[in-house]
Amino acid sequence: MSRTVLRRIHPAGILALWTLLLLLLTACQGAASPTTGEVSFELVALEPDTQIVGEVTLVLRVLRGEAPLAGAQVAVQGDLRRAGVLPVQGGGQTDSAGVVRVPFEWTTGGDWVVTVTITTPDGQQRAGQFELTIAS
Amino acid sequence: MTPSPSLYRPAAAFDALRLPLIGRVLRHRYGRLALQIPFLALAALLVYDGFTGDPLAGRNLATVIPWVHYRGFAVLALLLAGNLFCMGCPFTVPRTLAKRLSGRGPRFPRALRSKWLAVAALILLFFAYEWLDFWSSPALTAWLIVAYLAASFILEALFSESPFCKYVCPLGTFNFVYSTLSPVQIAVRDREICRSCVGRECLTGSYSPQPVILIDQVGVNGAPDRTHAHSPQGTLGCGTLLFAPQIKSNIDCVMCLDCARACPHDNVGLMARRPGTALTRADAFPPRYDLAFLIIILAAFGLINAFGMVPPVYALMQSLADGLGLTAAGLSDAAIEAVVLIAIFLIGGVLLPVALSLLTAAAARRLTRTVQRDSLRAALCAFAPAFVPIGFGLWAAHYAFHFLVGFLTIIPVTQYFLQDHHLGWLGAPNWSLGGIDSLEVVGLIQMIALLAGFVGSLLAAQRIAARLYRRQAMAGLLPWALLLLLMMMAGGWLFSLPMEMRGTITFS
Repeated sequence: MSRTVLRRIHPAGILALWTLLLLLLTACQGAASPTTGEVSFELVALEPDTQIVGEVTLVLRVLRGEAPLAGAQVAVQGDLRRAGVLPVQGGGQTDSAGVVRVPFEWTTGGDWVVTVTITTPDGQQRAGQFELTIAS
Repeated sequence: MTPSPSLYRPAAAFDALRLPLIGRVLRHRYGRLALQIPFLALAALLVYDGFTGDPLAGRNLATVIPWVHYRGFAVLALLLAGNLFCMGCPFTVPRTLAKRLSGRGPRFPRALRSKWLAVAALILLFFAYEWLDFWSSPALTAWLIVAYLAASFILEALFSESPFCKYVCPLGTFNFVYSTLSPVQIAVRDREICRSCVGRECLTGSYSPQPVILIDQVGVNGAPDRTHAHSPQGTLGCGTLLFAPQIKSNIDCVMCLDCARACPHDNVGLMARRPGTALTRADAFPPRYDLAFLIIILAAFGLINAFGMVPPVYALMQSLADGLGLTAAGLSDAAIEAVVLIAIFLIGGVLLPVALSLLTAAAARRLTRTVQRDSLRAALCAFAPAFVPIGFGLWAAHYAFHFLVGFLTIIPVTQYFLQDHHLGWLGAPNWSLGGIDSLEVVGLIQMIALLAGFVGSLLAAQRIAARLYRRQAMAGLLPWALLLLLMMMAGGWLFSLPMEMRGTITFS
């Protein structure tokens, strides 16, 4: 059926279609592994969506410029804003959408500072922090 | 000759200053300095890292060592050895320098020569700790250390005695109160030597800018029979003005051992004693309201401080903020927190314990029909020392929590500090090192500390009641036992709740 459809299209149209497809593929490739732009991340979600002591999954999205960055190694360390409490560590690798899901645990209530260190596929390293107040 | 009742010596078979090596080191002219110099170096390191290191509390020596390790070791040392932290106090190194520079200044103002200033300083420190979150700020902790050094230096330079240690220092005040449980105490070996002592160097010191020969005894031919010297190499006297043969408890003793070094008769020792002996002796604690309320308020703050770490504190702070109309007034969260903390501290830490202890003393007097015989002050002050064990139990349970869950964090923080200064001797920080993982085990240790403190207090109160009320001891004990039970139950409730590290409070 698709052959029938293609036969009905003008050769110039087929060429235009291929060009469009090529452009789209290039665009997707560019989004997955951009080589320019600043690396950043955003906390997309907490699963479950509550800030209380216990296990949680941090959903992070890593971007290079405006585009998602696939294949980046992400290391996460949570430090309580208090001395003498064991930091919590986790990590993972971003998928094609630049998203990584990091299993984590808030071990005690208080103010947590989460440091996210990203290592890009080309070996660059970027780090950033966000803060959350967790209740018991 | 009957010994004078003012001269006191605990029955002890063991004198730490007679130990072969340790005794010599302790008595050595620079014995204390040898302990102080490492602590001073450590204080300098904490100030340096506090101001220049990572602002995250868990990654900075300035917050890890004072708030996790110092407090844990301090309570352990008080219980097992004595007031070791005042002995090695780094803040008194510049004090000694100030003293030598200033010579003999005036005495500390008479109106301030009590424990009221120390009570106020303690409450101020507790308030600042909670309000400014010292535990989460390396820079603020560094400033606190600097403030300590400055205050100690200035007060010592201005006045003749050591007013900072005796009347101001909150850490020293804490150590003074709880070192009354310690197994050692300064005492004299032979009371008769003190009776005939001319110089009283244990009190006044053996330091003199110019060498001076003092005559102890004149012989039958009129020539000096026994002499001793004061010199620039001599020791300063007791900074807290304690006369060694009259010391009956560890209150005000910083264990500097200057008395032992200054004594020309080698008559001062660091004697072993049964822990807590001083609590039940009639004359060990002067019957003063300032001292009695210091002990009781400090025990109450053991509860208040722990309460600051459990979830119900948020609800109480919010309801106080609403009740006082602070949220409606549109104040900032920091201002609301300050007012609410002051309210909690004044009501829970001061007014309530003072009122309850006065009511208890009044009830004990009425039940034992000693209203005419004993003043309210006498009844209260006699039982105040019974609050030392339960207060210690509460503080030990709280500090044990921080220490036990985080004692190994000193390793990665040190690794991190060295790595930050390009010294890779200890390798990369191993952030997986914490402490005891099991909160059940930690909770059990906390409960043991609390119960041991309660039993110790109950025993002390029972002995005081027996001494004070004899046949009516049970009636006199009952109100105090109920108050102690109330404190223990409050402590039990607090420590059974999940202890969290109080975070930012947002008032709604």
